[in-house]
Amino acid sequence: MNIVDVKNLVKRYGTTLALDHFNMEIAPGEVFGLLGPNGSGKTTAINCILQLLTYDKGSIELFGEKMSPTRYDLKRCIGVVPQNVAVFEELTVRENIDYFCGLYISDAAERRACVNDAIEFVGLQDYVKHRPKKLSGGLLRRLNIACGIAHKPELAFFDEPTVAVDPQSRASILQGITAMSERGTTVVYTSHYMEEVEEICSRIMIMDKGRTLAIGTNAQLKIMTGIGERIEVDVLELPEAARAKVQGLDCVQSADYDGHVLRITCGNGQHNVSDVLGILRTFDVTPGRIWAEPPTLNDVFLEITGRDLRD
Amino acid sequence: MWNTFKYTLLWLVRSPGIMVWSLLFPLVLTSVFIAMFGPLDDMAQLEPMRVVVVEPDDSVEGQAFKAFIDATSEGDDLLLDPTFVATADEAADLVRKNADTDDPYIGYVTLEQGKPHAYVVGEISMGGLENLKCSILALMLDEYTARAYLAEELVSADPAALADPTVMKALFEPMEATVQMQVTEGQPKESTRFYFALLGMAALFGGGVGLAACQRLKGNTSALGARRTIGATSHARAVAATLAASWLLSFACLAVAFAYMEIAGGVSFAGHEGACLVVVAAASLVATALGCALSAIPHLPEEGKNGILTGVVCFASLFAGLYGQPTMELADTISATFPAADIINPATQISQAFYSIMYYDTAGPLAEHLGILCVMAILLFLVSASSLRRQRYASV
Repeated sequence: MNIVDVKNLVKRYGTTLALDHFNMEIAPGEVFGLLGPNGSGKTTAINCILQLLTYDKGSIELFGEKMSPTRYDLKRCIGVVPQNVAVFEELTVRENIDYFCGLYISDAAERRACVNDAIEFVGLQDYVKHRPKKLSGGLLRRLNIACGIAHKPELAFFDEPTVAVDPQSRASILQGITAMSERGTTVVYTSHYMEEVEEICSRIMIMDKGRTLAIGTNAQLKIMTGIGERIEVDVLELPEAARAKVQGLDCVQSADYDGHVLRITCGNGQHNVSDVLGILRTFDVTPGRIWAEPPTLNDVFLEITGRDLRD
Repeated sequence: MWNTFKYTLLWLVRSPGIMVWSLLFPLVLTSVFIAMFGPLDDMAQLEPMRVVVVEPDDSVEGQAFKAFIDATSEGDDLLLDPTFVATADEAADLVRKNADTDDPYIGYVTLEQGKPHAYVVGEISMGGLENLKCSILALMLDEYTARAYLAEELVSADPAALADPTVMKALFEPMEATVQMQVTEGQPKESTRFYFALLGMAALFGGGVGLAACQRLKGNTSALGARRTIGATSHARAVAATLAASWLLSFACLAVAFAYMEIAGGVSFAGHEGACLVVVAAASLVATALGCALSAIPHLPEEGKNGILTGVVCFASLFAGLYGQPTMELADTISATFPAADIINPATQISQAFYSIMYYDTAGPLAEHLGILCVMAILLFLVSASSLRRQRYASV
């Protein structure tokens, strides 16, 4: 049984198609990365799943049951960390967490324990009596997270939780999400930071214009797009014939020489670096520095969604 | 539900903007009214008259006059605040010297050839109240003279009559030309209507509480509202708890303003504080419902809705007669010409509900106003019902 099962979801804003027969299946315990450019439909998809938004067509099942706005039993198992910090400015850190936890747990004693755990989880012990406006951006984000997960949900949605957060706080947040996953929580994670998704997500979906463009593990996506490593070789003199020979290799997508550095973009291949060096050797070219970088998720993302600027 | 109620109340109480308009503003305005109307109300209170009395001699007439002065300057209902001097010249000097002070003498009295005479300060320099005091003094001395003459006549004509208690009682009983009656529950004051209108205005400003609370309850107005909407608490319970907290805070703020008005402003509610609190409760309910209804206006930011609330409150208060005598007359004219205008004006209804407690000896008029307020609240809640019930939106 999937924890999240979305089928053929269609959502329109007037004439704009925000979700175009969108499908998503998430298995228990997964940390599922949802990637897409601005306006691709990530947040819309999450809001539809959470029943905050109406939709035109499709079905949404959570925990194997049909989701609706009044399925409070299902909602009780869901935690949400929204994109924007959504807390009461007038309440303290503890009061905020207690309030949001109270939306899911009515027993005061049980809630108190959960609130304490959440405070410890996000490391806000020293700030429990502070009001949000006294907190830094990173601390605010941590409060935002604590409010969403204090009730220990089985399924947690994190919508860009690390925006405008310093590296230390980001590392702490990612560690926390990993820890939640290890405890059995299924996580849906959206972000624009590819390295984060690469680090914590077991499976990744790339979407654009309301549609799923690719889905798989990090490695599967790289294979899927055919992107290989990038190689840079410092050479003082490179005959054009050598460059053309490199360019002619099966694994090479492009090879450019600017008078100092030979830049090669590869496709999938097992021995790209040794193949290139072999050709250079046949032309008696002695390389200086050799630098090879494996493909990143960012490369995959740009390959799939294109390099055009978005709104 | 309790959790939502508790924290809604807490954040509302800690919102400076809300507390300024719902609590501080009515208190400040009440203080302004107290400062404005206090002297007016004091004018209606007759203080003992400061008068210089030339010490009478030891003759029978002198002793009788002295006894008369003493009797009118003692006890709870004293009329005179006398200062005794030895001679008429001294008395005249004292009156003159005190003429420009804050508490002048209205004149002096002396007994000349057994007859009392009053010499008062010229009326050109005096205000209306001082003239009134002079008239009262003259009346007192006239009555003293008449009764003294009557007693003398009685002694010379029929001394045995003095042994008759009925005659003696008739001789010394105060003459009551007019009898003071009170037809209202409380002592009316010139300023009372302004205070009641102010209570109407203060109550409606409490609508800001309901407006703010409802705004943060709806999923399409803020990230906070969205987060609350997707929570696992039943939406109906969340709405009920939010409205209850809003009403309670509005009620508390208005009750504080009411208490301040009664204690610091000296506004009489004729000992019917319990009934007044019922009106306060109904007024707060209407205010909460008004805020709720305004929050249902689509595609308008909260600031805009607050602006509309302020406009509605000020406009409604105009017809409740808050802004002075001319607007009060305008309100009366409109009320007489279009009685329906009063029925749909919550500020007027609140103000008149207090009136009915104060000026009617039956509960009918009060019940009528309370009924209208409750119907208003129900209608306003109905207006906002579809907006408050919604949990899913076409866009957020």
